Amino acid sequence: MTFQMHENVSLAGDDVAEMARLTYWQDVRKRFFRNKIAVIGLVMLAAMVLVAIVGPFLTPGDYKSARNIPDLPRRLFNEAGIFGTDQLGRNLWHRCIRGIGISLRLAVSVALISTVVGMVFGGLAGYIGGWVDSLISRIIEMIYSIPYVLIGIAAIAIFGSSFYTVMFTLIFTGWVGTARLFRASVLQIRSNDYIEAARATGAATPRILLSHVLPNALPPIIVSIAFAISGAILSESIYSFLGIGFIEPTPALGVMIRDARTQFQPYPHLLWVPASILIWLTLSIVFIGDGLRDALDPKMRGVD
Amino acid sequence: MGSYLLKRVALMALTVWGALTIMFVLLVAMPGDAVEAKQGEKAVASGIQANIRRKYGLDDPVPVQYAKYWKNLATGELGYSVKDDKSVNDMLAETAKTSLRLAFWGGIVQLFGSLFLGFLSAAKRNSAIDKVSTVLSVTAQAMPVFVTGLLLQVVFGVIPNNAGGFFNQHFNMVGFWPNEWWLGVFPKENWKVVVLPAVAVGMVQMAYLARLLRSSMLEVMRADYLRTARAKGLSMRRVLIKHALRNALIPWVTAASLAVVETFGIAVQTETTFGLFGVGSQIANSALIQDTNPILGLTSVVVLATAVTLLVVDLLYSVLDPRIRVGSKLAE
Repeated sequence: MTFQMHENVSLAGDDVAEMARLTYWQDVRKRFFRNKIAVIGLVMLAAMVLVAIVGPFLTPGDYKSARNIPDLPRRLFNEAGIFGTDQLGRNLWHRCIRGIGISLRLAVSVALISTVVGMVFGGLAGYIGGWVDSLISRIIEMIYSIPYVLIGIAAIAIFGSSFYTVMFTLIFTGWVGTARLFRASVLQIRSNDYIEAARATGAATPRILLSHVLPNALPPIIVSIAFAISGAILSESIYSFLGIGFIEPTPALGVMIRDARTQFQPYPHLLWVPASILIWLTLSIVFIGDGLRDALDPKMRGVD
Repeated sequence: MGSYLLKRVALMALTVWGALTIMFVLLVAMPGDAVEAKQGEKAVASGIQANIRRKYGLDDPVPVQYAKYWKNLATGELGYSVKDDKSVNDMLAETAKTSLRLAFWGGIVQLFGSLFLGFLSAAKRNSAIDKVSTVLSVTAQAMPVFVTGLLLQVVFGVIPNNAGGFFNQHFNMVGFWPNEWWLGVFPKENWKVVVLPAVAVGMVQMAYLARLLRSSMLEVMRADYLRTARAKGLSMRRVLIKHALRNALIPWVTAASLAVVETFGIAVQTETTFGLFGVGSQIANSALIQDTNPILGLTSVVVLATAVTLLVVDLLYSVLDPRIRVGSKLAE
C-alpha cells in the first residue's frame, strides 16, 4: 500500500539470471530497499531511535519535578530549548526525548512478546485443531469482546501505574490479533501436500512445525510485528489519554498530550509537539510495515 | 441452516458468558471499592461505610455477588450506582442515545465514505483521488483518534471561528449537541455539531475499508471473467459496478462488520475529545471510582450488543455465501 507501487517494484528491467541467484530473503531485502517510502520510514525511525538513545546523555537533569525551575514564557524557542517549557515550567524537549524512549521500549517489547505468545497459541490451535482449537478460539473471542478501558483500569488498580503494568495490559489485549492471524495461516499451510509428504517420510511433529510450517507462516507475522509496534505506540497514548496508562510525572507522549489539552487555547504547542512526535513515530513504522508487506509478498505486487 | 444457527448462538452465549465472567473477576480482584472512593470526597464513619456496603451488597461473598449479577442481567434490573444512587438502567437510557447516534453517523461516514473512495480509487488507479485516499489511510493508521478529533476541531471549528465573517456563519461547527431528533437519529437543530464527531469516529475505519475495497477490486479486475465481460461489449462502467464491485464487496462486508465492533472503542476517545457523554465515557468514569454496578451493567450491555451484532452479520453472511455454512474450517 505504498505510493506508486508499480514503479518501485517493477521487475521489467531485472536480469532473469540475477533473479535466479538470489535467495528469497535477499530478494526481499532488495525489494524493500528499492521502495522509496519504506526507506524514508527507516530513516525517520532511525533518527528517533538515535534521539532516544543519545538524547538522555546530552540532556541530564531533572525532567520530572517542577521545582527550582526559572519562570520562562511558555512558547517554542525560549531560553530552555527549542520546544520551550510546559505548563509546569519543565523543559519540553527533555521530556519529549524521554517520551520517545518510553514509547519505543514499550512498543518493541509489547510487539515481540505478544507476537511470541500469539504464535504459540495460534499455532497450537491451528496445528492440533479439535478441542484445543475450540478452547483457544473461544478465549481469543472472549478477550476480544471485553472493552479495553476496563482491562486498563483493572490492571492499574491491581498493580499500580508502571511501565510493566502498561506493557502487560497491552500484551494481554494484543496477542489475540497475532494468534488469529497465525492460526489462519497454519491451517492453510497444514493442508498443503508438502506437509503430508514430510509426515509420510516420518518427520516428527516438532520438526515439521519448525522447518516446514514456521518458515512459510513467517512473512505475514513479520509484517504484523511492524504494525503491532505502531499499534502499541498508539495504544499507549490512548490509554494515557484516558488516564489508564502512564500518569504524571512520567514523560510518556500520551500523558503530555492529555495534560496539554486543558492548556490548549493559550499554549497550543504543548499539544502539537508531542502529538507530532507521536505521529512521526507511528508513520515511520507504518511506512516500514507497508514496505515489508510488499517486499515479502510478491503476489501483492501491482494489486496494491 | 437450523443446526448452524443453533451452533452459532451457543458459541456466542459461551463467549459472552466467558467475557462477562472475566470482567467480573477483574472487578473483584481490584483492591478497594466505591465506598472507599467516596471517602475521598468526605470522611465517612466506618459504621456508615458498612451500612452502605450492606445496602449495595458489596459485603456479600463473591459467589453471591456473582449470582446477583446474573440475576440482575436476567431480570434487566441493573442495580444502582454507589456514587449517587442512580439506577443503572436510567444511566444506560441517557448515555446510550448519544452513543448510538454517534455510532450511526460514524457508521454512515465509514460505509459510504469507504465505498465511494475505494471504488473510485480502484476505477481510476493512480489518479488524484487514489493518492488522496492512500495518504488518508496512512495518516489515519498513524494518528490516535483523539488527535484526529482535536485537529478537526481546530481546522473546522477554531480557525473559521477566529476568521469570522463568511466562515463564521457557514462553518461554525462548535456548539451544543442537539436535544431534539427526528426518528431518533436526524438532528432537528445544530446538525453541524454532529459532523465532526461523526467524521472522527468514522475516519480510521473508513480509510482502512476503502483500501481493502480498492485492493480486492483490483484483484477481481484481473480475473478472466472481467476480460470476457469487456470483450462481449459491456461498458466499462457496467463491468466495474456489476462485476468488479459486487465480487469485491464480499471481503469488504466481513471487514465492515468487524469495524462496527471497533467503533465502540473509538467512540470512547471521540466522546472525550468532543465533550459528549456516551456509554463509553460513563463506563470510564464509573470505573475510575470502582462503582461496580454501573461498570458491570453497562459493559455487559456493550458486550452483548457487540456479540449479537457479530452474530447477525455472520448469519446474513452465511445466507449470502453458502460455502461458509457448509463449514470449511478456514472460514471460521
